[in-house]
Amino acid sequence: MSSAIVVRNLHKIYRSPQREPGLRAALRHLIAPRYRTVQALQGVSFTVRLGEAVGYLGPNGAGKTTTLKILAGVLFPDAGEVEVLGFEPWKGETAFKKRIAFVMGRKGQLWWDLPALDLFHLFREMYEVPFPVFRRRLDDLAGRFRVTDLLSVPVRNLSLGERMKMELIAALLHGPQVLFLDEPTLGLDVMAQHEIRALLREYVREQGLTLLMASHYMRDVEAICDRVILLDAGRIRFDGPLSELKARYAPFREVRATLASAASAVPGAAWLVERAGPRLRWRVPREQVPMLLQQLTAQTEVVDLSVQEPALEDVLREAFAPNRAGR
Amino acid sequence: MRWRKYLTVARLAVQEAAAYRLNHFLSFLVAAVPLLGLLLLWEQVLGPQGRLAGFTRGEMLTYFILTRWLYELTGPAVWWDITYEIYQGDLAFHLLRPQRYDLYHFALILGSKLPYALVGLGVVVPFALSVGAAWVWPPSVGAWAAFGVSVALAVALAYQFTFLFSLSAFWLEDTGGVSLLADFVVPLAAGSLLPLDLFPRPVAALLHALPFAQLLYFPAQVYLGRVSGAAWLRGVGVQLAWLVGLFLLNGWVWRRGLRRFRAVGG
Repeated sequence: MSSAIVVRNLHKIYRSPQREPGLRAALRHLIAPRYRTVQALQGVSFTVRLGEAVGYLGPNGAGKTTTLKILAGVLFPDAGEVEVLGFEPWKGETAFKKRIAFVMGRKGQLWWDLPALDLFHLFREMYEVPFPVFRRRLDDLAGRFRVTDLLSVPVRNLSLGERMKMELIAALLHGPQVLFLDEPTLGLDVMAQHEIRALLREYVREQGLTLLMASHYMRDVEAICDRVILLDAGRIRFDGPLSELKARYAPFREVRATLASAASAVPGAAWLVERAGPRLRWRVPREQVPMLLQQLTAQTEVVDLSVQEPALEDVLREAFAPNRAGR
Repeated sequence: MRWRKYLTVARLAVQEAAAYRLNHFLSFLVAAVPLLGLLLLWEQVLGPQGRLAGFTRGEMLTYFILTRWLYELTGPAVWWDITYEIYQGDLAFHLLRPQRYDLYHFALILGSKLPYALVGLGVVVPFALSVGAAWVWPPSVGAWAAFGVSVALAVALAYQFTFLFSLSAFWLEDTGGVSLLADFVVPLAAGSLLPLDLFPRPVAALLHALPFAQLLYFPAQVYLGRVSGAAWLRGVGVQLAWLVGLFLLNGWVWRRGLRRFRAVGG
């Protein structure tokens, strides 16, 4: 078996009561409740190979979290097939639960008033991890995440970043093969985001974990994942390597140059997007970049020059632009 | 199925509850204030030699003090941890883990109620002392054991109700109504306001037939030695039947509820 996750034509519909404010509306709702149905997933299909790290991207409400919850066995799918490590997640078999982990950046599972270590021991018993294995994993993880000294501190006294590290440790202690992450760096400051990202990348690669990660922070995905799946309004818009995503939705490069003196005529005028004295900025189709650089160095005296790939944020803005109003 | 994890859950709950022992003591103290009025009332009604519906003064006072304390262990309620987890979606965490959700919360409830009940003894014992020589003890070691069994079954049965009431959160946007039912109607039907014998006959018959009498009235009767032998066996049989019935019902409700669960947030 080389596929860790197989999703075929997955559908999920949410039905939520719809009620206008006011007493009369409340009464009417009692008698004839009206419901709003939301098609959260409309035929999503993809497979993830064992050991692959996949980023799951999309705007709010695209269905990312819904997919993750179905894959982790927390929600029932309405239609379609889902297989994770050969299990049907919604059946909730113990053998399945022992092989997966799900970390939600917006929620914690640790108890507020108790030290994380107490909960780790509880999870050791729940997942039936032999003590020596548990000890070794805990020492390893706490060492990497640099929280060894904090294991006995009540969770409420930890910073947000420290708490997220504890949540990750809690999720990894039973040695899952598939890891689902939902916004693991949400709300963290830049330093903590960077640290957690680096730790995750290292650990996931080293252990050969299969990872499916939903995130708003494109840097998370750029740092950890080789492949991205783009979801919009319950449908997959793109599935492939990160580089291909950029090539497809952002076939441009940004060229910045500072000239020795402000020149009246500069090459590539058609692509010029900014001009402030000697400082110039172009947005150039990828294949035109060499020619522009050639002309630039031939015709002017360049003091400083840079060519940049577009940031993933810009790529996504491009990808979702045409469809935004429709949702 | 391994049980150790649930012991650990209970132990952690004790640990957490212990952090709030003064708070427990105060809340039990406040909760015992109506008991004072109740005892004074019955003292007046019965006088030193009075009897009512087969209850002596001592039995009546013992009944109220005992049940006041016992109901902390055998009284069902809407357990806010469960409703919160359903509303907020934190139930998702529990569904991820290899564990039974009902047993997890049973362990939590036991772990948090036991310290509370122990602290409550500090409030109840002075009341018992005030009754003096009239205080009633179970008549024999066997009666103590019979009482213990009926309490254990009542605790288990109470939890089945607690779980059922709490699962209503899958369907209701607000479990306040269920909570009122659990907090006011159930204790009445269980015999916490009056021993069931004191109700008008048709009402008493109805209350005897309902399962709530098994939570409080029955164990109290066993304690007082008013139920023993074959009657006790029959009573325990009724407790067991309700326990199994509710357990099966809860399994069905739980599976239906999960299909409605949306795991909001996160």
